[in-house]
Amino acid sequence: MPVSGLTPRSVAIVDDDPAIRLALTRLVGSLGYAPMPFETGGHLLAALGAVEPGCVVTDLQMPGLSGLDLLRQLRLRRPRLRVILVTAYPSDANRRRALACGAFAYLAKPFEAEELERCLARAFDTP
Amino acid sequence: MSQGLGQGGLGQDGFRRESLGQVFSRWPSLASANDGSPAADALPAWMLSAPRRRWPDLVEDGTKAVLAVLVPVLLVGWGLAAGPPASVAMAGLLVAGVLVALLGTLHVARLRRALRASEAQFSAIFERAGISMWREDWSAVGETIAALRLAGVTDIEGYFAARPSELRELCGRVLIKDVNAFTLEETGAPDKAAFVGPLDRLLPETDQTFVQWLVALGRGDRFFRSEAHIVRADGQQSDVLFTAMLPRERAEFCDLLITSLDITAYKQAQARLAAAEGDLARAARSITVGAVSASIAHEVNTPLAAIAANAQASLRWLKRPDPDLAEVTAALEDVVSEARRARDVVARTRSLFGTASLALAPVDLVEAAREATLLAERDLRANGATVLITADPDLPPVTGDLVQIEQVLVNLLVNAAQAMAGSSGRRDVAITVRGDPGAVRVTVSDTGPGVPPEQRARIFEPFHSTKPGGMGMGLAICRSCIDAHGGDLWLDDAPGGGAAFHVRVPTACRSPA
Repeated sequence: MPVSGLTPRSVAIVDDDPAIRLALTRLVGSLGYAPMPFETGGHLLAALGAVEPGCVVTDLQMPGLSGLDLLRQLRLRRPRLRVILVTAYPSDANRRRALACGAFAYLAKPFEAEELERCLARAFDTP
Repeated sequence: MSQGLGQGGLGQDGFRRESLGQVFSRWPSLASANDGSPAADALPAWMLSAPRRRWPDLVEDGTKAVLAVLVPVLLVGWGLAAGPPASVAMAGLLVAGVLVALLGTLHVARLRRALRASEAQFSAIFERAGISMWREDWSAVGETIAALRLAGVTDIEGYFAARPSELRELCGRVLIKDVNAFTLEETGAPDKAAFVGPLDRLLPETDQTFVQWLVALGRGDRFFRSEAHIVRADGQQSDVLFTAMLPRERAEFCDLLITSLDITAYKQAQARLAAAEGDLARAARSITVGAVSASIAHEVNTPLAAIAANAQASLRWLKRPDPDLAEVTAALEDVVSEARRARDVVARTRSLFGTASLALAPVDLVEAAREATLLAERDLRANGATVLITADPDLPPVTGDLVQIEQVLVNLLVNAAQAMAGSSGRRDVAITVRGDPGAVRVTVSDTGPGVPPEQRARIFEPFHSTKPGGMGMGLAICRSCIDAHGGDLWLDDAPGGGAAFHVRVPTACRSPA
């Protein structure tokens, strides 16, 4: 059974870089999920309620609300929502920090489609 | 012909040519040049004439003694021969003569006493002085320099740079005759025998200071000082600052009085400071490199991620039973534009480290080579390498970034010294600065094993290292640095079989690309 129950198999995509946002939207769509692109974490938080994504894929480094900030807010408001953090600035410290904050997965850009596919499948199919 | 590197003042090009030699440490040195080199007519007399035996001095005293005895004897003889009246007068004269001889003898005795007192006083001052003092016989040097000047040799340093064994032999003919009690006190040497003897016993083969004394003498300097690293027979090593008033008369060469100040602790503090500075610079560099490379990685990874995601989405759509070609086209167009974005990131990165960051100014490559030698002093000494610099006269300045060019030369010098570390023969690094058409070329050659032909093509590539633990960036950075100057850096064989690295920098300003 889907995690949120409201918008099954929908994936919120949060990235301030329009090229990445669009590319991820296409990729997530091609994997058979319903993508919901957001330019900032703030936009996603504001939209919660009206939309209930089943999973979130967010960039780590963003101006204003960072990926980690968004993760912490979502943990408070939607504790069961799975959040996948992606970054073009990979480091062990970032990975540790992300997982310690409760991220479901951590991916370094550029990543393989299969990697994202596996993560999304686990996010939706693991109770 | 090689150029005297010790000429002070401004050259015709208005370029500052530092008076050379006395400064041997990278930090403000204790050794310093004396102000103002004397004009040619102020050269001391010893240098302008051939050595002469001083007959007047030898004859003077003997003549007086012979006359005091001979005159009375002749007078008495003449009186006896001439008869009684004359005998009385002669007897008077005889008495007078004897009195004169007696008084003369007394005078000589008094002079001897005064001389003994003066010698005792000098000896007391020498022995009881609270600073290390050395008495040395430099007669052989005086004769050699005077002979060279008379033969028309004005470039003493160039002359000896071409004849290292002659220089070493001359150093062996300088004799340390005595050192004072404080010298033993300060150094802890068991007795004076630790110092007394030929100077070359104390100065290691790598010494670069002795020739500077010859240059100062050849210039007619009144005073000179230089730092030197000395190694005693008992193995004790120390850094000292030698200072002396230089002879004005030929006779003074046989007894030069030199003061020596032990600056070992000062030099060690300097070395620690330099090492700490080096560590700090390395740490700062690695932090900067880390930050810069992470930021470059981020800049490049972002378009790569977009490319990968778009391409993979396209593939998936194409594999569907009813491919959405419009979506695929849009995604592939983004692949192309993101590839352009990645290319621009790389181009921006290159321009960041390109000519834009050069601080261009007129650079005297002779001076840059000399400075680089000082900067590499510790590595050169640690590997037992001796540096000889020769240069064409009146070289024009090149247009370049002094700090970067010096850094390149330091790198080449340290490489040369390290290349010779395992060799048993002489470890000479020769720096020659020559004029090329429209450029100046510095060649750093060593007497090491050289670079095998199969390695020559790769030696300038990044991450290619022949040293254990080396990053392999040194020569790659050197070459890109010289490339940015519009110059060349290449390698061939040194005449003696070692490696010769050539740095060619154009004289004219090349506008940064």
